[in-house]
Amino acid sequence: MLRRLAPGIARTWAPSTGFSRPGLAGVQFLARWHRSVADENAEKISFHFKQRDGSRKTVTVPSGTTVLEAAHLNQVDLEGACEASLACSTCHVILTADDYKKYGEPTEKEEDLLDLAPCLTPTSRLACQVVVDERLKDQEVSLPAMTLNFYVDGHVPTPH
Amino acid sequence: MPSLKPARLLTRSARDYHVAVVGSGPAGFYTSKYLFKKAGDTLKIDMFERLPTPFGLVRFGVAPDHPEVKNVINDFGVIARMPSFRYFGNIEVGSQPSLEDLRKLYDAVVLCTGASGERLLGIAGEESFGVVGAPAFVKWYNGHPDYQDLKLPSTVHGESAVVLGQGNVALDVARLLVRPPRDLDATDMERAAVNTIASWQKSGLRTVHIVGRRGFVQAAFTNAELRELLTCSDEVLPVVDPEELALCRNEASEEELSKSRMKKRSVDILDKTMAANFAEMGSTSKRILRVHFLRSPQEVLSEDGGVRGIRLGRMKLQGEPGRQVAAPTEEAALEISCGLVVRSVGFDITPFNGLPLKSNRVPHTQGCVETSSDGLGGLYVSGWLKRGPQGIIASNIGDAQETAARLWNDLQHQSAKPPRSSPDSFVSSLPRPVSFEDWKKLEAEEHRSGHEMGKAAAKFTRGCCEGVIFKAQTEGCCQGRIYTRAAQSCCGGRSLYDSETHGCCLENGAQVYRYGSYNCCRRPKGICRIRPGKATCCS
Repeated sequence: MLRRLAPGIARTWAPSTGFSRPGLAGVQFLARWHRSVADENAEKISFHFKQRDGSRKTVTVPSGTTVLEAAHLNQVDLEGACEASLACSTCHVILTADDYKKYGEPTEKEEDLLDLAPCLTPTSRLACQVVVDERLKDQEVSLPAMTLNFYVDGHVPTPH
Repeated sequence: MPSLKPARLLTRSARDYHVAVVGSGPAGFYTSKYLFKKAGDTLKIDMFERLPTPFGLVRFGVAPDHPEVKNVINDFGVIARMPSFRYFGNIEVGSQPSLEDLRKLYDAVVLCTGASGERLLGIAGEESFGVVGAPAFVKWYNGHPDYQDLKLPSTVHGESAVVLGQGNVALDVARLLVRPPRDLDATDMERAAVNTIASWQKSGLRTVHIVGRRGFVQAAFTNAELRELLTCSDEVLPVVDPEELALCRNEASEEELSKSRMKKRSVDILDKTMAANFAEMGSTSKRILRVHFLRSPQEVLSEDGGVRGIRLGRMKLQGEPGRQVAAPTEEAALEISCGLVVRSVGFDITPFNGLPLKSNRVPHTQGCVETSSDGLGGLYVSGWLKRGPQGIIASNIGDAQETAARLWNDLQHQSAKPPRSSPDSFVSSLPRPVSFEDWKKLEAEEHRSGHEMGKAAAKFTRGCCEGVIFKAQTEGCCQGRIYTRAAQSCCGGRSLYDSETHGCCLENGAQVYRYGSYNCCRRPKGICRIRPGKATCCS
């Protein structure tokens, strides 16, 4: 359940549910229920993730959810190691030039962390800091191609 | 009569797999995570950890005043609680069970044991009392059971400490030496360490120098940590000599700077504020954090075996942009009077019993050391043991994905082989392992007792020796025997010896030798007997 927190709490955290669901093809990496400032009755916003393999995934979340939460709720492969506390760069995403402008400059703290994100672009943001609302309606958010160690997801290594 | 398994018509794999993961830090957990993503229900993972407590450097390496960085343990906790995952703490793979034991029982073994050794400088005086390596120092203040008896000076001579190195670990150490102890005590930093730092500050520790041999453009620290030097406390004044900053901006460095967003953003932090603070250095009552560039330690100066100062040569940058090195100059060296030197120049891989090592790295291909041979499970590596001891928690993500993909791929190619018998009877015979539920109880107790003391947590620094708890401050565990550290030591984790009269030589395995009659040499490797009339038998 997404509940309203007192205003001013920038930090969100995720009590984990924990269990995989046996019998499903592949393990479902838990829908992480983050608490955020989203209201259950808020307008539902649809936008699209462009995933690393090029495929597009449309997600619909209440306005006020962060892009990171939206990813986790919809099994989009985006790490959030520090659980949205601005202590890592694993939720790095790339916005369109227009959306980047709409959302304005990131804080200095976020910029310090973006310094460390591989494949950084001029329109990069940390997904935990981007709140889904009207501005993102029907827009595209891309996952960067490479992870910190330049290992491309989906790559099948050849044994020898 | 062999049991008849129901025909599996619809699953992707012909059989189930059982993999052992050794080490419970980020490498171990991320590798487990990505293995499960690949394999789903057909995979079981058993994780083994030498200490009772999990999470490796997330628990013992992250600075205590950076608690959000540790949130990743919640993600790891999700993995740990999966029905097909089992955690066994307090089990030292390498001694009991051996690596070969595991390879006989599991389809594959992934080593994620990291790097606990440290790099040395190789300068005169380095062995003086009061010179410590950051890997040990950080583990000491972070409550690691093996480092609670780290010997440190009771007061800091010269009211100064010197940190050699300019990575984020060096900045952590420096910052924690000057932050107000009441701030430190509110974290999960070991209280004994807080008290030591408090007494150092009370007895005069005023300045901490952070020394790097190249310029700021080449320095390894990142902006968040650099900025934090400015914001960590009202009682701290970070400074840098503006002339020294200018020296850093040679042509090649300017070119490197123009190409680096991170370094461009660092200029303001250094130039605008820290350089401006330099003028206040003489008159301030605050504790000073002074960052030096283009300085390299030549010699540690000591008296009666204890550090009294350090001599730093002036360096210049030489070479092509992106490949500049520090070269010595003829200019006058700087001597700093100090009583503590923390060497923060990197970790090093420690050899693992049964693991090949070539020029200090484990040879591998995509994380594979040896695919299955002679009926043994394949051998893989992940994390620092695989890449070398560099990088942050997140650096393990791509790395773990690679090893997991390679391992899973190799197993698929062997799916025709009959499944091994289950390791369950081996696992149930393990001597008093700590389960993940046990750990959660320990963790709850750490928080509870910490809160009582006004701390975020009070870590459990006692060790577990064959099921018996011992006080890591004064005791050790040597292959199941508890011993008193003042009188004895444990050589190579297995041989107890009297540390007054004997030494432990690690050049050629672990050998105990008697002082006076034997030497421990690099050449010939190992111990040798001293001939009558000769001073040494080393060549």
